[in-house]
Amino acid sequence: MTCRTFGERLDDLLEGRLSPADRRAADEHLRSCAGCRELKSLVAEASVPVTPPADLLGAVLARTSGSACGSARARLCDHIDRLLAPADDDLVRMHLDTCGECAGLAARLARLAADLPPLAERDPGPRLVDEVLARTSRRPALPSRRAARFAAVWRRLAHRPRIAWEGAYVGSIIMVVLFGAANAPFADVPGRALVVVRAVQESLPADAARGEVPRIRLAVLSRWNAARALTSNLERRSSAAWDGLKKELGTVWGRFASGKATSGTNRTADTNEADRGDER
Amino acid sequence: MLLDDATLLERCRQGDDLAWEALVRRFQGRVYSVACHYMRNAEEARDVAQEVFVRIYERLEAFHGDQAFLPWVLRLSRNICIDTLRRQKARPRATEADVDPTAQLASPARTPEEASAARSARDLLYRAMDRMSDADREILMLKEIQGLKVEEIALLLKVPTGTVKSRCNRARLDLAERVRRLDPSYGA
Repeated sequence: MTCRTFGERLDDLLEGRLSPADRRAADEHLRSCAGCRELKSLVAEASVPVTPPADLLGAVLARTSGSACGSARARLCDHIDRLLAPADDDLVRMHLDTCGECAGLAARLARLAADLPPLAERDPGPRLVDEVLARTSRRPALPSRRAARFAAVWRRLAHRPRIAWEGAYVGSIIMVVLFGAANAPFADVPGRALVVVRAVQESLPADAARGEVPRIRLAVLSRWNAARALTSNLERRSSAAWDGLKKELGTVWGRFASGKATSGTNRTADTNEADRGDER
Repeated sequence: MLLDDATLLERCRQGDDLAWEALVRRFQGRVYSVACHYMRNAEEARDVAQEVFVRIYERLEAFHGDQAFLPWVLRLSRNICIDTLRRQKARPRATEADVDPTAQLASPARTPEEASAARSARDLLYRAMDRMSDADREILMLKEIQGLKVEEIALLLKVPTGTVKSRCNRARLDLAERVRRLDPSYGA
């Protein structure tokens, strides 16, 4: 057996996996080769497990990357929430196996994850529902409330002193935009309306127009008379109502005045009587 | 069988008073919890919770069915709390939460011993959170307590999702450390 073959089969020799013939050949080679004997004793020592010094890892990290606790804590919440990728999760787990402080922190975070969600609700007491219902159930239905809200907003707007100015301003702008500007959509409407009126006037025969005038006058007069009759009727009714009201008021005032006079007389009489008693 | 939120909302929109009552009952604990978190005063929290529900009632039509109802409610609650706090700005805030931390809904504890342990754990957490910064407490409340998604919180706080994640992790570690100082046996 050569030194190279011995080196290749050294592991098998140490772990007892060589065949008897190969083992005999290896023993013969060891007897004749001092270098291979030394190699065998070195490998045999190294394969015995030895506990490293407790501070070795810390010392190495201190001289290289620094403590890994910061990186572990940065991933600790995701580790608790199971949001880490498997490789990162394994790394955090290995760190927690060796770092008591981070393991304690992880345990507290896990407990917090269980204890915090139940705080989502608190009992406001039995009155809250009744109070809310009292404030909401008497309100009108939603559509009418919307209309009421719109009306309230409009009322508030309309009651401002500057509403007239704003209305005039907006109206002017609309008029200018619709009719006034050169490229306005209805810029030619007034001119066209005048043309139409003139065309109708010119197309109407003069005799026909003269014949229509008395008929129109008669119609207007009849409407006027009807309106006057209605207003005079209303006037008559209201004056009658006013007279009745005055009469009623007079009666009530008369009763009130006579009652006051009577009580005044009685009070005077009582006072005189009392004065007389004092004198006595 | 419990009606789901969408059905309840639809019935509320149709003017069903019973559905509205059920909706208030379902979300009152959540809304009150958020209000307690911000207001840190039981009476004010109840007033704010009332206001939140009145506002929800007024805005039922404005709520779109394509978004989740709970985040919408929590967002509304948070906004109303912050508005109320702004209005009260002149008044100094209490340093201690005067909300009864033991007042909870539906405790999962089955025996008196479990209930007592749960109460003491809650008390410990409230005391620890009470000493945290407002920003950390808020992010813990939104994500870890109310269970909102990172994207929803990012939308609510108008910050990137990465910021939400990192702030939340930092707040959790901070809370774990504060809890350890108050009770070294917690989580052991």
